[in-house]
Amino acid sequence: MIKLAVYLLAAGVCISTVYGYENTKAHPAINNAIISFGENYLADKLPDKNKWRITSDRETYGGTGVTNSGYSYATYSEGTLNLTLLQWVEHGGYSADEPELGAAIRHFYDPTGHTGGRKYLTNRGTSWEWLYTLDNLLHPQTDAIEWAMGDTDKGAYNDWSLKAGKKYLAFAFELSDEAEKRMCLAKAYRCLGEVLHNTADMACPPHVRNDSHAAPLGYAWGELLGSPDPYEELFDPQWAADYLNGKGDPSLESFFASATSIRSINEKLAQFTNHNFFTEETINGAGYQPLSPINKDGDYPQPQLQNLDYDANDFTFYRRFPSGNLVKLCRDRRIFSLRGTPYVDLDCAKSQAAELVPNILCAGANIIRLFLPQFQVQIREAVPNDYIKGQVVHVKSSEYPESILYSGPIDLIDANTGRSIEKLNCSTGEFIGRNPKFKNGDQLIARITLGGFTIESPVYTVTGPVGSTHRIGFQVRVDGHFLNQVATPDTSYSYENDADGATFSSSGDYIGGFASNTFTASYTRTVVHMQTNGTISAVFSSDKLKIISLIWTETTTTQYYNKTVNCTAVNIPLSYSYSGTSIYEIKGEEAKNAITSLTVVQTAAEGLSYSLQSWSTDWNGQVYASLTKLE
Amino acid sequence: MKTRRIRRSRWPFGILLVSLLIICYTCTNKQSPNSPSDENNLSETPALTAFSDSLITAFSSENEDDVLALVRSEYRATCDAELNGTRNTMTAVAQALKKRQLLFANALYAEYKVSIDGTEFRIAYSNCGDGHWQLIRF
Repeated sequence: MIKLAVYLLAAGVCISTVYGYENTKAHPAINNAIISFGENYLADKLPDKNKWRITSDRETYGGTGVTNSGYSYATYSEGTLNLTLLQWVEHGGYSADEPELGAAIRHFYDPTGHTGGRKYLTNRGTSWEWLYTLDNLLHPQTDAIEWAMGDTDKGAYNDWSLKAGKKYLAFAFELSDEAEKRMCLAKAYRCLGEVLHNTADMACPPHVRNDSHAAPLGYAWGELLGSPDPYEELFDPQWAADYLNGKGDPSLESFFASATSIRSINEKLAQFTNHNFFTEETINGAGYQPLSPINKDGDYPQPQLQNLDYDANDFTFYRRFPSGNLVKLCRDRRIFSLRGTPYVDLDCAKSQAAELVPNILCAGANIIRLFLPQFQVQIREAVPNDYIKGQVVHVKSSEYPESILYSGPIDLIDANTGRSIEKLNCSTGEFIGRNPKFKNGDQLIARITLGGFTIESPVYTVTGPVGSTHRIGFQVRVDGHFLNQVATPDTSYSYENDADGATFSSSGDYIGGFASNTFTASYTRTVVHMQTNGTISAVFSSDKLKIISLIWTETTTTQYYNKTVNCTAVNIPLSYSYSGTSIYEIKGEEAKNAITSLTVVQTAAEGLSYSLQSWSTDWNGQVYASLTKLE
Repeated sequence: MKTRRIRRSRWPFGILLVSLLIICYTCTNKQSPNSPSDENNLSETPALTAFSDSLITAFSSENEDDVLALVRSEYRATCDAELNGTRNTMTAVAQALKKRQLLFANALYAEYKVSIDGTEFRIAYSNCGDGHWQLIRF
């Protein structure tokens, strides 16, 4: 948490801050450790053919960063910085606390809602936060996680949230312009750094126990603001690296490894910290005598002194964690009494960090896992001296439920030598190369290298000009697993990047509806350089589990090719089990029986036509048809 | 004799408001992590030395109120209880403070180790951010 370097009114000087759990050293150091840990941790946890590493990337990426620290939006400033991706993550650890006064209010999350159900800071901070609503810029009464995630109305004010970061990362994949890609990567990794700042805060006891520790504005105003917290102050940034190989909590690690949302990871970490650790001012329970916390908002039910192991030799309250760590939570040795009011000192802080830091690292690594969109690169056809084509398929996840259509360079690699054969260009998920330099029997890999990602196709062996497949898809938009409702306008979003002078947008509409059992819809979809228009008319069975007849037309225009699909079909079975995977698929003859006629005309680059090979539906109503090129 | 209450100064609200607004519109001199400065060390600043000297004086006086006047408000009740009936041993603390060992110090918090009759204790000060150190633990 930040230290408010406070203006010394009488002398008119600024006091610089040093060390502790603050944003110039500790948070960047923690973020650095998360990245180091995460690269190793994720080595065998990302999907096949997806790799991620940024520590070895020495390139710099221009983006918007904090160039001048300040207390308020009026005095801090942002500008263009050129940093490596690792440095952008570190910078996010720093910038999350800028400007400082607002961050001092918003970086608290009480998972128990101990004070009237409120999870945001209520201790002390609320007595002065109203001052900063004067310019409506501090957004108080916002908890740390919603601010970091940007997934609530209050959190949406955060320009550098997880939500923003995922948007920037998606744009980095979708935009074809190299400069725009790099700018988006810089912004995405800064956002990741700010999210990881939140992760670190969720393993810092005062941040999750409603214990305001913003440095007060002077002796006389101590009633208004919090006092320095020993753990915050004593935290040595070096501990982030020292505990890189420390033991984390096994149940937490299991939860993090199976988590499907980033929010759930930070919430879980906050629960763990709140439940197991004191702050100096929220020590509760009965030690040598019953004790009430100094912080009147901090009488949490857990932990309690009487439930800890007390060692009379060193006057210390211990807890043995499932990690195996024996942690000093507080001690009560006082000069004038054998045992007095417990406190958290340097030894305790260091001992606690040994338990908390490894959990931060594991949480952070899994946040990275979920932050990285996943792709499959596939070579679909490769004809010597003619063409090669393939696709980049985004694998949807709970963090990225909308399709990301990759545009940008593809490296064609000789799988045996590792040498680059040539550079291809991918546009909205499809890549085509003319007159490629390979021959029958060659083994090829298509590779994307972008912003720390390395995504490769399986090895493709060139076998000559035989029938191949082409995948197309349309969406019979349904609501959940029932087909009795119709989607209203769908997948509509836009983005303008005024700060950098660049503008790009992505939008789409899907308008249609059921009239009795007949579904009609028209749709348009624009994604970067691809424009798609289509109409669907489908007659469903009364139980909505079968399309009795379907007429579907779709025209796609890209800068590289135009494609028209005309499809009529009967008796298309649809059933939904929400298994999360494809729930229905027919191929070959069965598919031909269902789809009575289907023509695809694709102009440029090859002017190909296709016949139906198979089609399928997946769990969310996407219908795919696999086609075989007619020779 | 029980200690007398320490009176806190009450600043006019208007001054508070103006001062906070001034703070909002003043700079900090923190540097970004890409321009590091190493300010943390274990040398005692003049302000810490001065405060330690004042503590030594207070403990030497064997006057509980003199010590309590140097204690941060939230910790006053705790320290008040600690000091109760300790008048004749306070000078030992003063002597120990003269041989204090600084374990940690930054702009807001300092922790020392002192030894009395061979037993080690921790003493801690905190700084509200205004350069005004106060005692929080002994």
